[in-house]
Amino acid sequence: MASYKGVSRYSDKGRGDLSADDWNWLQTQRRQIEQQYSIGTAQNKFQRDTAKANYLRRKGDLTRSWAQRFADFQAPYVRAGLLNSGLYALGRDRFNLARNQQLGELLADYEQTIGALKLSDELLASVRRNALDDIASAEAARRASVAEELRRARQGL
Amino acid sequence: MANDRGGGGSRSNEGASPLSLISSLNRRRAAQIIRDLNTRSSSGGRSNTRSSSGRSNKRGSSGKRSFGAVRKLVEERQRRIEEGQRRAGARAQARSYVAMQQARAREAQREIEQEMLEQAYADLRQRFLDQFAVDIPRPPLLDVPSLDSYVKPYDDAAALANRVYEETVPQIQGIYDSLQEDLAESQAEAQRQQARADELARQEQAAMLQQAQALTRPTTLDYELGVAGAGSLGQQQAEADRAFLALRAADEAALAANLRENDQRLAATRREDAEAMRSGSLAAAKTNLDQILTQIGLGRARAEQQYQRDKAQIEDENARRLWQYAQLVQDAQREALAMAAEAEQMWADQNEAIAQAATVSPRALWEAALPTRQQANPVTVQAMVDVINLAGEGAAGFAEAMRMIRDEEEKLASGEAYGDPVNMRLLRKWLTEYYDDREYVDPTRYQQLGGDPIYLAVRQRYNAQPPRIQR
Repeated sequence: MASYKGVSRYSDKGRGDLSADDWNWLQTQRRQIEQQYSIGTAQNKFQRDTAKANYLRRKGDLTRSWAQRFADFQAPYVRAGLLNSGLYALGRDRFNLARNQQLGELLADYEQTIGALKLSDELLASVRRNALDDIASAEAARRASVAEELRRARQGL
Repeated sequence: MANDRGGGGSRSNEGASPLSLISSLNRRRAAQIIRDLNTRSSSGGRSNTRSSSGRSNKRGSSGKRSFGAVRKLVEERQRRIEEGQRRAGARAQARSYVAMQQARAREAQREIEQEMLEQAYADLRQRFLDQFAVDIPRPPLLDVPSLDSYVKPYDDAAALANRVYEETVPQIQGIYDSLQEDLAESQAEAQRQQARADELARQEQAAMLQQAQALTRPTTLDYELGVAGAGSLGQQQAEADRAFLALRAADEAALAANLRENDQRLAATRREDAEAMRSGSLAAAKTNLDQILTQIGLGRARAEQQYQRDKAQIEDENARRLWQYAQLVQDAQREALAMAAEAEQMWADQNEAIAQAATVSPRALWEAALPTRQQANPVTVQAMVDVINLAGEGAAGFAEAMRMIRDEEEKLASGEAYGDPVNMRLLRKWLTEYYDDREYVDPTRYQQLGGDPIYLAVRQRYNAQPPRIQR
């Protein structure tokens, strides 16, 4: 039995009894799957990195913007001497709520992007695995068929 | 006795030719002469005795001797006669015994000679047959082929098909074992990837929560102003954010689980398909093997039928060749037999002609030897001529011949013969030869003429009717 186990998947030594055409077709299919998977995962990684960078940059901007806006919000209360008042507390609570809401939305967007990319990674892996398994099944079927043909040829019929 | 002889002569006188010396003598009379001569010869002893007694009587009648002396003489003579008779009886007995032994020896010798002769004659006939025998070569017979040579290719093909099938089955098994190993390895790899993805998701989730908590964490001033704590707006938003993040994480986990479950279902289907393909391939190989073995079996049966047909044809052909050969041999034997018989006939004719040429008769021999005998035994020859002449003159002549012979015998017996007497023994022999009308082939003459002694011997043995080669 010409086993192709223990030989590199892309080595011609694993060809065994398969014809060159069959072997080339199978290996081409495998290479295309691997290439699509590589491209997909690379794109996902790029998008993930981009999303993270955007998130950090916009978070910094918002942080700085809200710091400036906090000084503007606090200035009237300072001038009126109401920093320790319930009014200031209420205003500040509302200010924080608005700031947190904006930052939360940014975080949610980022997380949504990351989640989508994670799902995409899983999909790519699933597609690759299924495609490779399909190719392995096709190869096994072809090898069995070739073995049968060889058997018939060997017995001269 | 004289009357008897005369009566015999008168009885045999009829039809005799009196003039011819040799050829006209009546055979019966000649035979009578010979018989009488032999009778006289055998009764000569008694005649002598009577003559002696006659002389004794003569002397007795002279009267010069006394009666007692005469009586003594008679007794003495009687005693001597008895003594002579006793001796004669002993001699006759001895002669009879010797003759019997000699007859036995001759009989044995004759039997040996006859066996040798028959063997020689058989050898001669076999030589005639061998001379024309033709050696017909036996035709080559076709070999009947063995059944094995017909069915062996099919048996070999069946053995090969079985062997290749036995070798192919583990090969197909190995192919699908490898596929199952690949699928299992793929599943293991998927589980490893999923574990890594789960770990990353967990870290990501924790980081997000940390971020969210950092955003909503109350400051010291918040606590101083009393806006932090349960029921505050910040707290409410933080809880809402956490709930939202948890909801999103749950959604993502559900999606991922759905995807993984689908993957596992696909993998299970693929494994089942691989098993189905494996059993399908093995079943197809087995079916194909059975079909091939069926075809081989049919071909083998046809080959066996062909073998039977070829065998029958070859056997027919061999039988035909043998029959043809037997016909040729039979024809050749028949022809050889005919030619051998013809050659034997030629041999017999040639030797018969020689034998005829070498045939002699005792009378002719006697006549041929007459001049020599006349010089050697003139008296006896003259007596012979006288007897013949007298016998040829009829009854009177025959009686005269008898008388003359008797006188000669009496002369001899009484001692009155003088000079050169007739040799009676020779006379009897000559007369026997002269009146012997047989003819026989002289062997010396026959061999001088170049005759085959075997033919002569066969001719005598079978009385000129030997067994011949039968066509």
